[in-house]
Amino acid sequence: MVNRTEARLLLRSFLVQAAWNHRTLLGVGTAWALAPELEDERALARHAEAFNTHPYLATVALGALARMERDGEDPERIRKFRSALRAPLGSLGDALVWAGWLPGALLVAGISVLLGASPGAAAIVFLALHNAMHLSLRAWGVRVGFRDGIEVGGALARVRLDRMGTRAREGALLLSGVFMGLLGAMGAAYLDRRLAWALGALAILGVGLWRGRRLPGGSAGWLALLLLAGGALVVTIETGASR
Amino acid sequence: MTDPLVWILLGVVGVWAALDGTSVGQFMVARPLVSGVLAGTLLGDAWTGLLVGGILELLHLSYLPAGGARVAEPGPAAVPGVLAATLHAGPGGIALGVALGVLLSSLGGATVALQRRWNTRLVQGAEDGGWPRARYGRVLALCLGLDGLRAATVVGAGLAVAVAFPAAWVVRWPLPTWETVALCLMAGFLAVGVLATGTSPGGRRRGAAILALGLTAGLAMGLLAW
Repeated sequence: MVNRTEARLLLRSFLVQAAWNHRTLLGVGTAWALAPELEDERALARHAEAFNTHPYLATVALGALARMERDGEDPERIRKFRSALRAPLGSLGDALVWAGWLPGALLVAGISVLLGASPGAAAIVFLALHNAMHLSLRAWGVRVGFRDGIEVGGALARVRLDRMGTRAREGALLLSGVFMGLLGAMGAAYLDRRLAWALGALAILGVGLWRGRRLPGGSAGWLALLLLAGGALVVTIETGASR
Repeated sequence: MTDPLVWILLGVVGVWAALDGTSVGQFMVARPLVSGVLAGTLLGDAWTGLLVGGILELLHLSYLPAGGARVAEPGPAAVPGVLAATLHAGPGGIALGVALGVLLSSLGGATVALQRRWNTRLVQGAEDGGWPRARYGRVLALCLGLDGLRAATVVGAGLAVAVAFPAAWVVRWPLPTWETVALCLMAGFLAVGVLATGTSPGGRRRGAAILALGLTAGLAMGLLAW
């Protein structure tokens, strides 16, 4: 159960990124989310200073900052705490959510389609899986943040979000293998020139594994366009030659 | 497909997907799998929505919207992509839908970067202490409105291209459906490879081992299923 302050912070956390900008990042969103808890406009300006974190774990920061303001902590101490929270919450959230849970939930939906689920069911499976974690994380964050204030680091250490992130990422990796295996088996059942397809797919996977994040973002999309253009050209030439 | 309500709802799904990506909620309606299925359902062809949305999803699987990273915007882009594939049925329509989705996704990412620069101007002075309390909410609403307008422009332009694209060019697409889909999915293996290296906590070798285990299990399941 959350109290009224926690509920308000939780609801406002959904808009914490609405004014994302290169100057204060989430600063203005953070100040707006905390506004009902702050009586002094100077405190609002302080919270509008540069701040960034993972949006789902922003609730930990919002809860803890609201508690510290309520307890009348020294502004400089609040500023230092805010700055110290930034990197750990960001990296924990990135590892757990963006790199682990989100692709994992997407791959579960993809596998369910390959095994016969309908489009609507796949979308619902994904949204349910992802948001079960998303909403739990936000609600948990605001609760422990508001309960523990400046001591919130202890709660973060106790739940071992880093270990959960590792497990989520390994799960996503396993699921991506299962998904590709299913696609491979499907290809073997429905495509001609199976060896060429298999070698091509393995070569592309190998490039992805080899170059990793050094590849520019969006490479897979551009590769799809290149393959489509190349495939169309080859078939057009073959058709022309056979005439 | 002349019902104006369907056009409006397609626009709503596109803008919703764009806002959900960063500004509001992050419930992941922004993922092309979801926006694609929603668009397909509105157009009466959920399977095409799933196909185009699912392909775009796979192609963007390795994107991590971490920090202020500039990312593509495949969710809203899936809506015009699905419209193109539905209007031009057949393999040419799928190829057009995916191509439009990839291009719009990149364009959407560029407009997000532009909008963040506008936001930077709008928030100037917020941390200096001169702002009245109500101004934080007003600026937040203005940033949200700009994001919505930006998304509506990108999605609207995409829908217009999908409708205006010459059908005569689409029907000349030479590849059959299976090969068209397979080429797109094959490109998605690149994203899976990137995801594997970027997310493998125990190093590249452990990541490759987990991936190989999954691949074997998937192949076995697939061979039993088909």
